[in-house]
Amino acid sequence: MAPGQRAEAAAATDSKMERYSKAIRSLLATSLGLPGMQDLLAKELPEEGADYRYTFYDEDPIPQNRLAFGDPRRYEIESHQFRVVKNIDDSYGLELNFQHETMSGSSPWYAVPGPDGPLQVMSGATIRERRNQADAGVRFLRGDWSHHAAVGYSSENDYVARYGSYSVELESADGLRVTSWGVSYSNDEVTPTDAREFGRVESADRDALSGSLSVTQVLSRNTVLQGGVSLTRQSGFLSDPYKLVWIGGAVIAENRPDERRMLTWTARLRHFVEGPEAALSMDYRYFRDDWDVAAHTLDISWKQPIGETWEVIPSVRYHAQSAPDFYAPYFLSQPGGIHWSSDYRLGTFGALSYRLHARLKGEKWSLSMGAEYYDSDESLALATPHFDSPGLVSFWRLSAALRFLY
Amino acid sequence: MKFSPWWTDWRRLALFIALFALSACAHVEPWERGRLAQSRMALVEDPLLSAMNDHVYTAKEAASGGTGPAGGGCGCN
Repeated sequence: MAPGQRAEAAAATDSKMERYSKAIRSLLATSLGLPGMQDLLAKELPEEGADYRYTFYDEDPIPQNRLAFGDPRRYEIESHQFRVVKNIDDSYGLELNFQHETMSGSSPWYAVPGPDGPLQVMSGATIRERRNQADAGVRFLRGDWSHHAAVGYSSENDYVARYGSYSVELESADGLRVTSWGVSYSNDEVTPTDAREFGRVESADRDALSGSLSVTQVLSRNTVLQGGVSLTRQSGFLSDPYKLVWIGGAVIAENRPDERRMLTWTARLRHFVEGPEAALSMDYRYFRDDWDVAAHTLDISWKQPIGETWEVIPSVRYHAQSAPDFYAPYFLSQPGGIHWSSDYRLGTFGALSYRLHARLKGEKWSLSMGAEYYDSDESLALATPHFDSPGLVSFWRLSAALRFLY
Repeated sequence: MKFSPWWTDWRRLALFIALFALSACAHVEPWERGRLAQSRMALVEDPLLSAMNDHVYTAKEAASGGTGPAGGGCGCN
């Protein structure tokens, strides 16, 4: 290209650049502009700020026609989450998260045969628990690479988890692709309450090691796609110490395998819709494991701005899973294998979740409120359920959140 | 179903590679990336909401993972 042509091309580029806001030009100056990857970008630290979120979670009582005995009132959880992001300099940033939860209610225990199908036995006494979780992370940039390391600790009266993770992201030279690798490890300790009184295990450990790979690619000026795969191996005591199983009239503790290997494939799409200036978000996950559980999960949301300051986000989520061979609501005779569980969460079912969020945005702050209704049922399953699972849950979730940017 | 690791899941792996090989042909100039930079186009726009969603759904379903490095478990029942 001749020098004159280069100057004209540069002038044309400058003209295009002028059409964009100062904020966008700032992003272009770093040749990035990749979307929403404050936690993934290889060349830029996330925005500094502080977040608070309150969530009230309330499960519907178990219907009388599915209840054998026990307290029909199920879990209520109040949760407070805090997050602070502070950058030390242009290369180092810190993230701190804290969560406090209070839980109360009764929990599904086991199921028994009834005249029209299995009936749920609930724990009689109301459970009251607290859980605290804290984690800290550091992110640092080196050229086209971004590194992130984090450690965390979660504690409740009968469960302690210690975990850590490390991930690294690489941005391509053209700024259109980010490749990410990550590993994480967790060591959990279970110490059930009233262990001797109910013949529960007194103390047990479980470990989880996970590895993941993802590629995020800009497909067009309106569309981004991320594909990912992850493998996780859990080992140790993987049963729920509070869950029981009815076998031929006897009630004994559930017994799951002591190892589980899990695989996920994920696809996440973000598409900007030009007419309404909205963002369409679609997340899909395929899951399977060596317990013979297979699951499909699809989450779709529409982020619609209204004027300069409001945003409304309706979304829907669908989940369907199949049960492992060792699951049944009850067993009329001793099962053939050495494992058994009647935990409804392992059954074949489908779940639909409807959510609506609204967000008010200022220059340096935002306030959002949201509601969700989640319903799970055998009739929503993709696979044919062989049993009714009377413990299947439906719940409401209400939340409010505040964000401040420094 | 017999479990096999992901690298033997040939059809999904082939689809994964083909998708990104094809998309590598895409070319978007820096000045065309303004819409992509909007916060509502983020993969994870609200980390606290995302963490809470993972926590709730993992506690009530048999499937988990696929949303980033895993944290510790909980005694959720």
